[in-house]
Amino acid sequence: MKSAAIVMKTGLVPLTTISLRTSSAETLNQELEQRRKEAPALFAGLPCLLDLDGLDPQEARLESLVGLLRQNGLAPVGVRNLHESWQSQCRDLQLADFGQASSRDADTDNTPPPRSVRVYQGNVRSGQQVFWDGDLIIHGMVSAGAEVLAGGDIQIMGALRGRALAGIKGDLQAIVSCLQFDAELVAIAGQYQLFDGQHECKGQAVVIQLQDDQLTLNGDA
Amino acid sequence: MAKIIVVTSGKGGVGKTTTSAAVASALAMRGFKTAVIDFDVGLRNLDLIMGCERRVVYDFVNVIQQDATLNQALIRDKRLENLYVLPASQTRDKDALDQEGVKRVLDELAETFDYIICDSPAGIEHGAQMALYFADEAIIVTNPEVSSVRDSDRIIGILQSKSRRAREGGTVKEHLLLTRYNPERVERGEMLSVKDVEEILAIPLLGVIPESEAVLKASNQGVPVVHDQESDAGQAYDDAVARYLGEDRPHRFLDKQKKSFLKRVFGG
Repeated sequence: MKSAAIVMKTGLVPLTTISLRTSSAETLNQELEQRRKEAPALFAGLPCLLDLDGLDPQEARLESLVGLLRQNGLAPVGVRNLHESWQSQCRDLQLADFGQASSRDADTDNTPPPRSVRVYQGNVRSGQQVFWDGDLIIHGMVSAGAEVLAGGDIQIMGALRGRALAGIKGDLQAIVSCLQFDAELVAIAGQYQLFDGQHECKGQAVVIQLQDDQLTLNGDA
Repeated sequence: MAKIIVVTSGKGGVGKTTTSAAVASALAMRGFKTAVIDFDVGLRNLDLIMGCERRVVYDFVNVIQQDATLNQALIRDKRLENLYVLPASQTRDKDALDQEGVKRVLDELAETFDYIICDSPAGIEHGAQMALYFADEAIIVTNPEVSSVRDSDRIIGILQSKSRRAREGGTVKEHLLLTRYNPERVERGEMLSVKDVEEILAIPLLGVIPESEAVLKASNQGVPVVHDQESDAGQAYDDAVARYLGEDRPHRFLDKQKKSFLKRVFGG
């Protein structure tokens, strides 16, 4: 008889890699706290992979590093580039060992790594919030009272009637674009502007960028 | 297998209960065995609109808490023999509704009924979430004004994220029902038009119910307005249900009625 109690599926799931460049608990905690304040929704329960490449096992205990991440709401599921002497600690912590895959190659390459893109299918309704670390593409509209946030660009393949905040981690080059403009608020890298619904671009396709600390719609301030 | 339809809106006073009563009655008139449940625990109204307020002995909460059987609580409509009302409790509050209990009642109803209409309370809190959780389809009741449209948008978002179907990776089929539509006020720019609302909410239009004196009259008399086939609202509800069942009926009552010559001369 075929069992139906367990279904196994293989698939690609997004996993954030967190590389630690120091093992100083104080420095790490400070920075984690700061980043958590910037994006609390992102941090809450975020599954992540801890990259230990280049860290000296003499200087820190794996347990305390993992503890720091957990204290800040992250949910580490595994480690990468694990030093041999940390292996038993890793087993005790019941973390998966993802092997020695190195991210060093990307560091030596001069081109910046491609930003991850999230494609959101459907409309973002009033009261809903969609967040993505990289670029965000909305295949639908963003209703009044809805909010879309991205670390990179935001592209809305429909009407923007709510709020769009791009480059929320300070990317000044971030762009917001939509096919039908009637936004309540648009922000790029913290520079925001409110729109009262009478804007001359209302109903049109627009591209919004930051130029000299000012938002421009299709090139006009 | 019964189809569960939630009638919801977010905003209060837009016509959810009127719609629940009319839709349930119109389905029953067409021969479907239909139950209509009042989820507005504490603010019981459906029994009044259905005209069965003096026949309530046991209610929805009694059945959930297993103080009464479903058959004891179901009230058979006095006009339509295959229509039943499950009234809300007036002395309790929404917290008396728990997911397990609601599921048990719906499952039992689903064994013998064709349609189960859930009349949702206003708001987006527990009561409204209980009403929509198990829905297969939703009728979103919206008035042509901005606050109602925004609240409808919000409730569509909740349907798409917090309903059982959404949680299991499926979708709840949505239908837009625009109520209290007044073409004259739309023309004067005081109300949103059908087109405006359709554009903002982006869900398929099931029907447009004109603002009508017949609705208030029907409520006060406890006769669902769809029984009043002389009235524009009654006909519009009948059209909407026919459309829901797959009939192709053109939308009516969207344009201003031209006053006849006599009316223009003598007023009225």
